[in-house]
Amino acid sequence: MKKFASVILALAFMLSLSVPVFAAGPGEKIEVGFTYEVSEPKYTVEIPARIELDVKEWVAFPITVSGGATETLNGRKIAITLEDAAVGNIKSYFPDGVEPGASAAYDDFFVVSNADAPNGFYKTLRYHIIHEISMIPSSIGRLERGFTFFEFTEDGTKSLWFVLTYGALDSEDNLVPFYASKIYPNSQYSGWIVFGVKIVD
Amino acid sequence: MESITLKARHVIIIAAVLIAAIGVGAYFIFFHNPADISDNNPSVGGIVFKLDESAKEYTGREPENKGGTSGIKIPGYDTVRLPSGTTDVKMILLNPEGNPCYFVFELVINGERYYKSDFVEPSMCIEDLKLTKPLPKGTHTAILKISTYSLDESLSQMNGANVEFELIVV
Repeated sequence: MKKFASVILALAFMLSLSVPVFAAGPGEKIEVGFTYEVSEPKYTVEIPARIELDVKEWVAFPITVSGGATETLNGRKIAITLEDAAVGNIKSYFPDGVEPGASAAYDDFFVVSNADAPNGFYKTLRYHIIHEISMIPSSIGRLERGFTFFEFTEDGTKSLWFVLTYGALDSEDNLVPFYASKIYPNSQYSGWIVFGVKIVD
Repeated sequence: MESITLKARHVIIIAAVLIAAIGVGAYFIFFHNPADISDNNPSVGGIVFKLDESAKEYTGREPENKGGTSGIKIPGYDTVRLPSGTTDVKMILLNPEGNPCYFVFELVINGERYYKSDFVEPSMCIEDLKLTKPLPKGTHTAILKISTYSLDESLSQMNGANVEFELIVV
């Protein structure tokens, strides 16, 4: 009898342990957890890594949208915009000892810079961004936050063209910047751009 | 006898001091380098470099990229759902394989920054985000700011991106 009672007691104890811990009595709150799918990237946009310019030539930088953007978009578009950039004012464009014109007082021009350029050489160079090859070079010469370069409706590639500010023609009818001899040779002038990426209707 | 004992004691003390001095000197010569402190978090041009400790290797399905090899691949998002009432949320912040730069991520909502990462290497991602404060409920336009830095010692700033997406907080 004692043995039987102890077995019954043991069984009862085990049963009490097996009651779900989230069981609630009347009036008690039950916490319900929120579960959600961990969001992962749906598409990829490849942008130029750096702004590297040629003295005389326009340089093309591709922007590529891929990774199933066509399925993600479902009739919408991916807009690539201009959000921010390394900029300077017109006065910094001229080398030491060369005075800019009286009207040269603009800010927010796109620039690439070279802190190592010695006195007498440009420390900054202006450039333009051309997003349609048919447009004239002065189409985007200053920072316009939010300016839309392209809209993609599917995976693909479009090109941005970068060119140093033109000044004059050389003996071979090539367009060259003002005072090309003032560009410090064999050294790097660098800048940066922040692109905007968003899905729009 | 007493004078001999004193001499022995002096010798022992002197020997102990010499050994201690040699030991301290050897430590400073071979093991202690003030640069060790800065090597853990080197500073270059005002940028303090620190790899994000929560970053891990990305094993998910990376969107197929048909771009070139010289650009920076930026991950894009559509609609993201996150919970309110907590600072611990999950979202994949990915620096795609093959990128020529470190990523630093910032999550900004309505002009306010809720999260900033340390440096993330290519092929690595962050999934567990510790926010500065819980997200407000509702539908928002969020911006994932991606700053990029070269992989060499100069950590020079490269082109970046602000990725805008719809954020639903429930």
